[in-house]
Amino acid sequence: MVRDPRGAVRRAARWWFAPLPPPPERLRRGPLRPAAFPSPLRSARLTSLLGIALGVAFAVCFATGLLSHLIQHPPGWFSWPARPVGLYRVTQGVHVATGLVCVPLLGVKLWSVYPRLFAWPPVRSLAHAAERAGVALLVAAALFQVVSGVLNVAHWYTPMPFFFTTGHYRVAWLVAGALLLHIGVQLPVVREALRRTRRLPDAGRRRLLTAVGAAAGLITLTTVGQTLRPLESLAVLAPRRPSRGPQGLPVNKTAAAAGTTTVSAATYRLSLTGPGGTIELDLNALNALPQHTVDLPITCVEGWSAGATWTGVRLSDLVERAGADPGRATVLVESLEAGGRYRSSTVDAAHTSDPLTLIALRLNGQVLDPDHGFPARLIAPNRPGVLQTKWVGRLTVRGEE
Amino acid sequence: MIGLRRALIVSGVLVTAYGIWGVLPDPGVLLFLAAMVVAHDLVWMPVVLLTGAVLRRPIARTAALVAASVLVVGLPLVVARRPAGNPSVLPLDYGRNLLAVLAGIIVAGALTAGLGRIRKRTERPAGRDDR
Repeated sequence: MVRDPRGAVRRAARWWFAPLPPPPERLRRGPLRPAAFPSPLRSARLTSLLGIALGVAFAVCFATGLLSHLIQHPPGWFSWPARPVGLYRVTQGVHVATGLVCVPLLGVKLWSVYPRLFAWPPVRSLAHAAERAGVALLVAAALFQVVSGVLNVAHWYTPMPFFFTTGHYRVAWLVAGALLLHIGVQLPVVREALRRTRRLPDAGRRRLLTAVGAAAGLITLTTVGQTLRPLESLAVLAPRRPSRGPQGLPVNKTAAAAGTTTVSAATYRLSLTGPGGTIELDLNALNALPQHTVDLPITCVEGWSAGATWTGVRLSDLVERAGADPGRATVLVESLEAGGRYRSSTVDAAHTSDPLTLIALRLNGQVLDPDHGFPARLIAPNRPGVLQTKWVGRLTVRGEE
Repeated sequence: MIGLRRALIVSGVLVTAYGIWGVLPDPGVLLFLAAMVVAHDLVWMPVVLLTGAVLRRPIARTAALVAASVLVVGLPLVVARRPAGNPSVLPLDYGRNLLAVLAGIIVAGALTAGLGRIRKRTERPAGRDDR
């Protein structure tokens, strides 16, 4: 018995799109009754405009966030350049600033479509149910990203029953997928809404969009000074100030938190392993090597960054001492801290060979504060702060790649 | 357009499937996702709509919208506890700063309303002259 496969597909499509029996009318009360949401400001056009703005903002957040993830967990095909020096500072600053701007955008966008939550009948067919489930997923994931981002920036982890970095990254894919799906489904509605010329006076809607803009502007103005130093004094709602911290520079992890307060100048040794074997350098030996001074920012994934002047030994000089070619070597930098997710980091060849990459011994002319990684820390151009390993105890040079 | 839509929907389904596969093993993430929808749709939005019903004047509504947005960003800073021994994390008095920003929003709203009233009053005689 050979069946016609096209007939089967047609039958499946009919079943999928077939209307479901309507629910009894007496359930239609409360928000489900007609005209339960009387605001004349809601319109397909307003929703479309907000949706486009939000789509652009989410695209920026997704691209910059994915980039940050790739830099921190580089797969084989990915390489991140050492120049321009402050590129990561810009991409991550934009990531957080754009994410914060999404607060009013997402809020008003969801307000504009809220009545659709109580659409009647709640489900028309299986296809309609699937579409609604997709929207629910998009709403959940979008709220997840914005709220978890705000909570992380504010260092308030109690409400989040998951590890922020992993959760935020994984849900980003959920937003991306559900958003592509949503755009695909809604494209005709958006086109129709934007094409229509409006004859009615639109003052109320213009006022609403102005309010969204004002909210976004105020949030930016009160937070962006965490990375833009000229606006530092306005950053009254920023979780960091670029000049607040030991030696005038913010710190994420203190020596006390890392358990490195017992490191002393007298007993400190830097172990340097390479093709030429292992050598140990004490602080005097490090200070006796050629010293270089560079201006490099420290950039946090949380969106703040601050420039500083660092003095120390070029990593490339140490790699040569270990018997390897800095242009082709990668270096595993390990901290003296006992544990922690960012106890070590790998410096690729692009950064190893860069003359700006230092094992820094001084910050703004002073010996490093214990919280800044005394006696020695890594500082390299265009890298996230979590990869600028502090309290460096061991360098392992891996030769030609 | 049909081709573009089809491409968007197919890639959307694939990426969503990848996303679901990523979050399924993490019950904490699933819980937070569900909590977000419930909190937004059943708590936050009714509060917003009630506030809108109480505040009838457009300027008051605008001010409330801006204030609500600032609260979402600012409240976690107030509630979060500063990590011990690290004065560079959350270095400011955020409770005071948030109140100051909210006060600024109210003042700006009142000034805008006042300016609007003055403008209306000065425009009225001119309108009469035109007749």
